[in-house]
Amino acid sequence: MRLFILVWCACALGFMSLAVSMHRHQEQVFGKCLDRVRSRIAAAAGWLFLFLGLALCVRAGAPSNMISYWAGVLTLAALVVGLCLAYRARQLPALAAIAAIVAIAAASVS
Amino acid sequence: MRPDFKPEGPRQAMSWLHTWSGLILGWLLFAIFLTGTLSFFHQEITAWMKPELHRSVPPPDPAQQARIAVDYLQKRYPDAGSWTIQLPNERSNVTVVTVRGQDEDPRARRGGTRITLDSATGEPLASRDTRGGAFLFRFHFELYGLPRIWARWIVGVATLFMFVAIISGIITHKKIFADFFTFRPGKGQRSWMDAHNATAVLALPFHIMITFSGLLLLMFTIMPWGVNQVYQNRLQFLQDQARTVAPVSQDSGRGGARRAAGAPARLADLGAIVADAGRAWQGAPIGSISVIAPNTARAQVEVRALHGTSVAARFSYPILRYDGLTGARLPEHAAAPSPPAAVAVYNALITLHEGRGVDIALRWLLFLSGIVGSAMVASGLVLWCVKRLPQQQKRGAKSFGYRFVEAANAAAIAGLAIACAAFFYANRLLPADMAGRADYEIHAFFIAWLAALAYACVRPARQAWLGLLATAGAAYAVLPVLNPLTGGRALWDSIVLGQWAIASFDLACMAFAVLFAFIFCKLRRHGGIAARKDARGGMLAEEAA
Repeated sequence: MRLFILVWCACALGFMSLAVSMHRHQEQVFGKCLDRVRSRIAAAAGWLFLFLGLALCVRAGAPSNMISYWAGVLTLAALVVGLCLAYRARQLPALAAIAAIVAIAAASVS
Repeated sequence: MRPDFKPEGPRQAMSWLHTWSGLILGWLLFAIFLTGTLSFFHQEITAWMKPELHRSVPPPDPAQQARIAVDYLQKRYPDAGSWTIQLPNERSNVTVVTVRGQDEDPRARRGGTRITLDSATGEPLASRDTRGGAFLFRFHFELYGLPRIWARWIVGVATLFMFVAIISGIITHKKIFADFFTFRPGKGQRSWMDAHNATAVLALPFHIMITFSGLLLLMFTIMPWGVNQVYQNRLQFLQDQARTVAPVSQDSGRGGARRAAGAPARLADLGAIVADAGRAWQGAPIGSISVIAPNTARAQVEVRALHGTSVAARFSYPILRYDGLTGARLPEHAAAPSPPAAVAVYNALITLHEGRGVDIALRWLLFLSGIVGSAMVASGLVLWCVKRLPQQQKRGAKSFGYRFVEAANAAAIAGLAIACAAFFYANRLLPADMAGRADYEIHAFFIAWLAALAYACVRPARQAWLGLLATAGAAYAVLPVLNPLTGGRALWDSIVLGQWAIASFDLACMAFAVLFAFIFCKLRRHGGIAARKDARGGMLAEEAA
């Protein structure tokens, strides 16, 4: 369960960063477009978080199993980020904060 | 294929291919997808459908579970050639023992006498006659009542179309990354399109894996020529394949069983062996224990882990071997060489498709991805209608073809949910000792499905959807109540006792009931608008209404 929470939070943060690197979603979330540098940073952070999720998975078991696990968690994370953008776009930063806090809490409990 | 005969670009051609290949086999694909998704939990479904077994509450310690099973076997089958004990686990609350004679292969996957035991008391348990989850599992690739080869061909062709639909869908949907998170609710056709795209793209790795591996599983049915060129017959090929794909050590065991039974001797304590295996695997769950030549001087014990070593190695499970007299761990066999890349990819695809030996977390992820996939097929089918509705309304009357698709959609999507529910109701309401009851359960499934189709044909589309959704919602809401009333373990008890195989079935029924109720409410509130949608699409789609 702990692994799932950690990986899910990492992937959700990744997808949120990726979304925020796109103009359409910047408008939805912040009401304005971000400049190019910030968009680039968001995109880079997004990929970084997704691969962090993968790294967490692969460390935890047989690589073939855990890559499959990661792909499954990616779907669930993207689903929640997509729904949040559709219905509560302005609350995306709040969701990101929650995901970050939960991830840190899960990482420190062991 | 444009009606005005103007030249079309590749994307339009792909769009046409996607629309029509999707529609023609969409109903069948939905049935395959949904029953296949449920099959990830076919053991749990079977467990629920045998309420006589619900009273078995396994003791928490696997060593104790093993001792209880051995006590039974020692009392009843002390002279058997081999015993196999499947301990209860996260997916089963009973112990299953298999007893084989002196002359039988102790590692055979079939054969022997199977006895289901109460994990706590060691008493044998009898259960009602039912196909259980195996029916849904078989249905998803062999349908029902058709010659097996025909059915596999039909499913194979549908799978091929699914693969075509996925690839043409990717090509048609040009802005995959720009639209990755895009879902615009409340915009009619646009919303259905978004929902269809989102369910497709978000679980795309799963869709490709499940469809391609489905083709691989049916490969030797639809493309037999390669095998026929090299081998005399199918059996030879399968034996050869088994040797390369699963280099399971068959050496000691086979010989051991064939040898004379040997002098009588006292069997070591299996509880201690199980405890040792648990320590060696750092608590990873134990699947089964095989005792070869029990109560003889040659006794040997093999403990097999519940979960496979990895999805890339098919049929490969961690195994520990013990001396049957002293209980000492024997040196491990050299690890099987890791399979070549092509075999590893084949193994991984097939193992994930079958969910064989994967742990419960990955199983749930596969199941949820399967639900997203079912929602994708369903939203695609509904989208076909939504897209053509304005045109139909302009004509003043719905054409026969359109009306047919509308009715078939409702029956194929909501009707299948009702059919599954009818299967579960028949399981509990038919008398437990009725002759041929397993077949009547299956008849109930098809009768309910046909009734749904008939209803969808005579009612206007919106009423048909509302009626079917209400029926499905009510049916699934009542199932967890019916369970304790007909001899099963009530949800509150199964949770407290940790019988998750049974509890998760009831919980899933409640989740499905909520889902159907939610779509029902969405559709009813939406009523009356000209461009109304025939709701249902699951997950994202229903919120579009």
